[in-house]
Amino acid sequence: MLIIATASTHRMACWKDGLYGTDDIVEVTESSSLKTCLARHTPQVLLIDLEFPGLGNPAASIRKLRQACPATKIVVLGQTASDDLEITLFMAGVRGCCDAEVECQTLQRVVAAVRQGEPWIRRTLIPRLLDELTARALGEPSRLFSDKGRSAELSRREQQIAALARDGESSKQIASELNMAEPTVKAYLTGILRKLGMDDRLKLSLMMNIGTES
Amino acid sequence: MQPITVAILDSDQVKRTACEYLLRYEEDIQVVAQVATLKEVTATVLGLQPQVLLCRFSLAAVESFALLRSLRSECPAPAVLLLTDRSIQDDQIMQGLNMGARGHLSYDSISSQLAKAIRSISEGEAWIPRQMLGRLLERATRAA
Repeated sequence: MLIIATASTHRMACWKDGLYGTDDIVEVTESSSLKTCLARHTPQVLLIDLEFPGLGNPAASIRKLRQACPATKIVVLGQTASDDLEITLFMAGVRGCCDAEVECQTLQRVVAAVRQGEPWIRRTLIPRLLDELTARALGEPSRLFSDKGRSAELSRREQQIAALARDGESSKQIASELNMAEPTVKAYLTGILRKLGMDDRLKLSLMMNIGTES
Repeated sequence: MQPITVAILDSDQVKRTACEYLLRYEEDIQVVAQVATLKEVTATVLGLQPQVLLCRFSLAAVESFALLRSLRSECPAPAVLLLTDRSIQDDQIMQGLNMGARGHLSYDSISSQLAKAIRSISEGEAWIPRQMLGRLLERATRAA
């Protein structure tokens, strides 16, 4: 048994199509009936649209849903605003996050994985999720939504590239220094800027310089 | 390019040497220290600053936990890969991960996976099965 909760008829149709034949599916389109449905059916999995009405504060809402139905594995579909928010959702109790425009086959894999107890999470987010779990276990403050957490999320290779970019080296120079292809360096830089929430290299350079001075 | 620096903590010299032997042809990995006791580790970490610490997860788990906690405040902290034998329960491994370890590998699979795991955690990734991550999450969020 699986519940799909979305107010969008288009998304409901897509997701139902994607899961056709794999499960009994109950549709929920209004927030007022979600809790009743969860209590009545206690589904194994709840697929919920991040834009579902009533999910204004997603993490708090997820916590409430978990309390109402602890056995149900919750998967959120939609575009999360940031990696930190996505980790917050996992810490609140979701078992999977994926794009709302997910392909049929992928959606089936998401549901199968979550059922087997495997969280559906991007590989690159796992270390930060572990870090957050550790902080919680040790009673330390969360590192999410802090600058320290953001620069710590760069991998060693990303830190190397970011440091060279800070020193004003071109992608070509960085590529030859680190023995990499130039397009790879550019891809890394794009990833670094995205992770740090910046839109150009100048800001990256400024932030890295501030980081080393302090 | 700088190799990944690794220290090995294991009270069993045969196992320590076996790990180093497995890594001998990996050009991007350099074993900088082998230590036998928890006491030696702190000095090694402070002195040599290895990027990765292979840590035999001993039956004296309480001591291993204390070590993991103290390493967490070191800067730069090494990424810790727990090496476990069959006597170690999943519960203990999960506690180790909760205390800051970034991965675990059983001695049964080190010959095929040790180098891969070291590269992966040195790049900031985690080395744990998804199912175990699921159980960690389940525990952490049960009361939430």
